[in-house]
Amino acid sequence: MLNTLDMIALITAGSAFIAAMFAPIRPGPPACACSICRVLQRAAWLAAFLGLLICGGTTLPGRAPSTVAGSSLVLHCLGGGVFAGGIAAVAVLCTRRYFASPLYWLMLLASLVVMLPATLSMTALFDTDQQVLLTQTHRSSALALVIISAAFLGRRLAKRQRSAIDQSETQPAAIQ
Amino acid sequence: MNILALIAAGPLLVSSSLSAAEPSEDLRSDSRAPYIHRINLYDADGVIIRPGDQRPYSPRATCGKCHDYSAISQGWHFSGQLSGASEPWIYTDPLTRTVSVNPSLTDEQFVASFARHHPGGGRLESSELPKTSGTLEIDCMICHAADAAYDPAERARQIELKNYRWAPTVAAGLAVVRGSAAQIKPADPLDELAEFDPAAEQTRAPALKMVYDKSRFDGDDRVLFNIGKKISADRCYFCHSAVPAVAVRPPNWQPDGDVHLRAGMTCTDCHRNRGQDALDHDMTIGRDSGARSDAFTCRGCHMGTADTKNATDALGGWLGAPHPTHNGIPAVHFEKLTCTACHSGPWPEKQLQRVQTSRAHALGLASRDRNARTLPILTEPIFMRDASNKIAPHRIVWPNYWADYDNFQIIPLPIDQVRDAAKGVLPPAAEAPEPLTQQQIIAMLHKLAPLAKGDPAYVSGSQTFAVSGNGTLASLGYSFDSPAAWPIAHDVRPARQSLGIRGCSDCHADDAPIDAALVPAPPPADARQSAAQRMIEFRGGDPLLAHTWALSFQVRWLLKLMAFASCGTLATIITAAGLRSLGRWLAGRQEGE
Repeated sequence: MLNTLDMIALITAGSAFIAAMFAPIRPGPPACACSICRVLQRAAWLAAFLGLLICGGTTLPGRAPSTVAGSSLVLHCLGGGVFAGGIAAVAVLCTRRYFASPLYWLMLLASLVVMLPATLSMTALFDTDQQVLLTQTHRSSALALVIISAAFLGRRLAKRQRSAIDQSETQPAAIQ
Repeated sequence: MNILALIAAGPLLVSSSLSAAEPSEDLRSDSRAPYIHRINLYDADGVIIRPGDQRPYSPRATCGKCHDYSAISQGWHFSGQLSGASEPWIYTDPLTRTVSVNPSLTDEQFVASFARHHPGGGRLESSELPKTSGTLEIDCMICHAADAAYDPAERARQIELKNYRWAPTVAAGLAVVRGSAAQIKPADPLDELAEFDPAAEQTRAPALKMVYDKSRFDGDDRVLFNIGKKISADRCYFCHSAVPAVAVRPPNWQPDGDVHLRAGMTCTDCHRNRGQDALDHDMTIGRDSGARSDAFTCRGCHMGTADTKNATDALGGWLGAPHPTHNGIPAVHFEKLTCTACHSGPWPEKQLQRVQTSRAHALGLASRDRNARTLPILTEPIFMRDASNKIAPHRIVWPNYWADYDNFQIIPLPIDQVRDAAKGVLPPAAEAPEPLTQQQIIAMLHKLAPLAKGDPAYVSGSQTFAVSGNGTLASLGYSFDSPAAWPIAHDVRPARQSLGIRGCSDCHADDAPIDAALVPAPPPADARQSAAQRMIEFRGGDPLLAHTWALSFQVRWLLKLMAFASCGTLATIITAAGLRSLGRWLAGRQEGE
């Protein structure tokens, strides 16, 4: 069952998704060209998406906010750690490149809203009801994050494909 | 007697001959003050008892005049319909080392073994009981007596003497009985179930003499039953006590008792009648059942009942129960654990505790023989899954009995026949017998061979033994029987002594007793043969997962650090970018103007 938080997350993510599909592609500033930065950027993206994949995969068996338990929860925490490190590295290394992309900022914002409740719930500051609310917020924002991330990834792949086509169209002319 | 006296006594004579079967009048006082029960006593035939009479009073006829006895008798204290949720009846026989849980007994055997801690009714009113002894009707006063005049130990003594029908009268201190109904010869010696006629018996052979305490009767032959609305926990404790089975008892200041009782509550504050009708005696046992009575479970009182339209039930706080905050405990714990897992029973230690209970060890009855090793050996707290699949503290007892192993089935042999067979084969045993030697087991199995359809077998702890083809004792290789287990909920410890109060490592550690404590099969099972199991394996948990959790909590600080650092980084970058964009936007507006 979807609750209010889920609905808010879905509407936000859906709006972002639609906006991203119809928004014009604006080229960002060039990324740092050195090989170390490129490797680090790729590693950061890989960690973020791998973490997201693990966390998403481990929540599939259960639907209620706190049915992730046992070995799934261990993996979920592990995936969460990988994602946290990855997305923070992405934010540090890739912000310049994607500064003009609203989807990128939405993804970072959703990541923050996903991670913050999970982190806070590891402290002894919140009681049972607040813990449930934190878990629910974590779950709903994670739903939004998955959609936004899918939109962002799809958008990047589309852009890359278009660049490849453009490149293939221009290359024969250059030879001639 | 003159005519005026006869007229005056008329209504009394009519009322005194009311049948016990007459429907109750359902008298109610509807006051918060207890009703003063100054009432006449009635015998089983519904005839009023006078101080000089020899007939015992009948609770069915006396209490049943105003309260619906048949409705009350449906309560599980009497009908025994609560199997699996509460402590079972455990039959022990030191000679044969038998420890049998809820054994198959005749009604007479059941009464002889367990009626001492049974309030009456149900099987105790069986027609199979000897007519000379009568039956054990529901003895209302065993719970409802508000003072110390009622003596449940005396009731047990009368039951031992087979003075069943006299037991409620004597226990209430209304009369004394000399002799035993077991000595009474029935009118027809060939028919042991022949009806007993006290008057005839009195003139024939006074094997049993009853004398009422005349000071308990007033001028109208009425007796004051001191009945309170609030039943004292001491009444419940007679049948529901549990004490550590240790050679030297802990000093009196050490056991603190249940925190609820310390707060001034009593057992019936929570364990109320479930239905709307207060007479149903279908008492709540602290489990969520979907009924209104869920308001008086742990969750109902302390947190409120979520799925109810009743505002006060939804809010909880009954009896002044504080709302627990459970700060820092992830909600998944409440789905996996019962409240009692962290709050009830003894604080879990690596060495499990042996415990003795009223029902299993006849606590409450004076004995010089009872000691720390008296059978049965009950062990607690065992953290295993309950009927709702949540982990809860349990008390367990391993079975130990002689059986017929036939067609891959284990059928316990009749206890009487096993006892007869054991004479001369097994040494006379005290209260706490030593485990049998292999030679003794083999000899006993040979002796039992004629009684078994298949092969005689000895179920001992977690293993089953039989005599092999070469005459030696052999384990059948796998367990036929698991220990009997039932959840424990008391004593509830104070919040400051709840599990987890020192942090996650109270449970999430390799050496945490909740996982690492060893669950052995204690004597009289042969300890050398019965391998102990770690508690997590015993309850079917995953040791690797528990180990992983334990490890993860050693590096949890790193996860927290990384999560906080990542959140901080994201928040900083998002804020900085937002401010930068805002600055550009403002600058653009200024340029435009």
